[in-house]
Amino acid sequence: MNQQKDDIDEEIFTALQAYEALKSHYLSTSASSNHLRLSFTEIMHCARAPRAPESIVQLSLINKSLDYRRKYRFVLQNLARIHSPKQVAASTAESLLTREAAEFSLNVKNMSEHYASVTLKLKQAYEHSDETLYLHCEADDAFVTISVRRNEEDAYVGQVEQASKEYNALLSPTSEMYVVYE
Amino acid sequence: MNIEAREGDAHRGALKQDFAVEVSEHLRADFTLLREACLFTSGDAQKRKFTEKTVDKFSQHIVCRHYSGLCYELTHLCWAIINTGSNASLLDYFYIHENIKPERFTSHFTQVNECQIPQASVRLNAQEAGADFLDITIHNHQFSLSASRINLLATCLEWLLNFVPKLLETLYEGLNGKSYNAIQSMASDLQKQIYHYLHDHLPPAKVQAKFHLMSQYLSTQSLPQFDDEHILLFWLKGRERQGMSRFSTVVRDIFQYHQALASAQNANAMLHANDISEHLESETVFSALEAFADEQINLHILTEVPKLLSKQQAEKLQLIADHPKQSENFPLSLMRYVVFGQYQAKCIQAQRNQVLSIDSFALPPLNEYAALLQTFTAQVKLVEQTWMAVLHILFLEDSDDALALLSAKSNFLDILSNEKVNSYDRNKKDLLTLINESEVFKGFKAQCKQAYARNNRQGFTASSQLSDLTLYSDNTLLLLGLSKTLERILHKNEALFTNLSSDDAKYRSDGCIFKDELMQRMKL
Repeated sequence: MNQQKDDIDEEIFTALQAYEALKSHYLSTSASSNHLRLSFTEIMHCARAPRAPESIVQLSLINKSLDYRRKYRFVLQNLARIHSPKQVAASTAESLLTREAAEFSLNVKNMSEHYASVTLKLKQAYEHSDETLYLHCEADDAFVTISVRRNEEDAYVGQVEQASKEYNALLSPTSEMYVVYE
Repeated sequence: MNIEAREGDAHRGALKQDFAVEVSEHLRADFTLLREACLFTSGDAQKRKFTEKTVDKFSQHIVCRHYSGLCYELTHLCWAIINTGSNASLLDYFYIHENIKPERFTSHFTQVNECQIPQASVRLNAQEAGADFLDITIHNHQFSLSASRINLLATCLEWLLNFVPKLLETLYEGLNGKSYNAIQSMASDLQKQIYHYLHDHLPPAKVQAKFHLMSQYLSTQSLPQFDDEHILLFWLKGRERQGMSRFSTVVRDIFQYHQALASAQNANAMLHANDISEHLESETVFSALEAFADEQINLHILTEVPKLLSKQQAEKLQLIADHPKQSENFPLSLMRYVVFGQYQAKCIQAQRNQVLSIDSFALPPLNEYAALLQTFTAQVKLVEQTWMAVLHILFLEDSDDALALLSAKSNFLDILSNEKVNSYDRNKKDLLTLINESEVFKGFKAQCKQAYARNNRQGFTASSQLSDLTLYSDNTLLLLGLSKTLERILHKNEALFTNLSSDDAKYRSDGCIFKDELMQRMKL
């Protein structure tokens, strides 16, 4: 029974991949005429400085193309100091307000009707001078970035809207997380 | 994005010609991405990652298909980076530390670890500022890489990353801990990837070169396009040029060039109906090269079973089948192609057989142009006979395809209208019944039977007849299309052809030109 389900999942996955490949080809072809293509350098910059104005536009392009997402994932895998893989299989996914990873703990707390606070605590001290860390999350075939700033207690805090992709990605146990800092 | 202004000197002149811009829009966008790539800076004014000169040089390499050396050098550089660094060394080197300027290159390689492979070394050979070399030794193989090439090689890698999937991983896996053979193999793989990519974005190199030459010729002669005389002159001027020895090849190339231009102009006019620019869009010219096949008539099919044309007949009609429109517009070149193309082929064969003499250049005494025109006229009649023979087969088998074939010659259904065909609902079977019962068509059917009896080619005898009747009808429709083209050519150029048939002066003068030219070319 499980084997059969796995086979179906595999077929759906393959079909989705094929569809994404076609879509990405279409997007990259149409993008070329609209000057909306991204170079590897731009993808790299987007991962390193996600809050830059051009990076916000670039990330939306990255999320539209399978090819760009693969490159972005590759960059994050090599750039991130800390990586937290998916927590559970998709079928049992339930929202998590906290995530305990090997190298950090993440806590999301609803502050008001619309906003939630994000607290990231690193389990060991890393040598870096940055006051801001970037938490890249990949969930549902899209990347989002949350920036968190160091507070006096050496934790990193930030804020997200509850009705946002960022909030959903933070809570989703199927999201992969990458912590990037210089 | 104005690539004309940005390409290198050698390419710049060519690009300014109307036709010469055959680089696809996609490839142009690639070069623009390279020009716009910036170094990673936080807040400061953004500095270009690749210099203008480097991208000019790189685009020249690519457009001229001169990339094998680049691949070879880049693979050596990657090998040196990987085998003296960590597993993310390529990303670190090119994208995190951005060691893509000579001074950064030097700085990196003065600090790197020892090469991990036995009998291999990577050493920086310090010279004057900016002229350092990286000496790579792998067993007996030695390679020196100049620091001044680093920006160009980084440009090449950045470009490759656009279309080679998982390139950095592949380079790492393919070169880490490997020897010189791996470098060769990786360089060859990169070349293949580029070759395939450029196949979609650049026209074939030979075609490209020929079209450049034609474009240049028209510019120097201040002509908007070729005519029959200039096709001949172009061939005469190309005596020493490779690929221009046969007159027939030159005619085909020019026809193809005209076809490409015409298609591009049409596409351009459709795209910019309100703004028809004189300057052709490179993209449309490029795609036009791919579209030739649509207009061509496949003669090869007609010489197979059922044999609707003999190979000899097909030979004379080949140019018309391949370039119907151009054959119509350049009638004298069509005549010269068939008559003197064959004449030249015989001379070349004599030379190959080492029996070349003055006699080999003897021109046929009769007016060959007149003979060819007679063949063309006869061919139109022969096609009608073949059409009737096929109809006989279809009538016998009571095939619906007979109607389609009858409709192809419109006057036949007009005759039917006299026999109250309009009262029928034009159902195929009803029409066929009508045809079979019609008095008018009884005579026609008898003629079809006679045409069949006279035709003893394969597919038209009891023993060779095919069971698949659609082959007969489909191929006959093709043949009728060819015949219509032939009729159109004869009709449109009636005055010229009448003159060529009645007076052999043109044939004689052309004969003298070809004879003289070929004797000089063959050094006799």
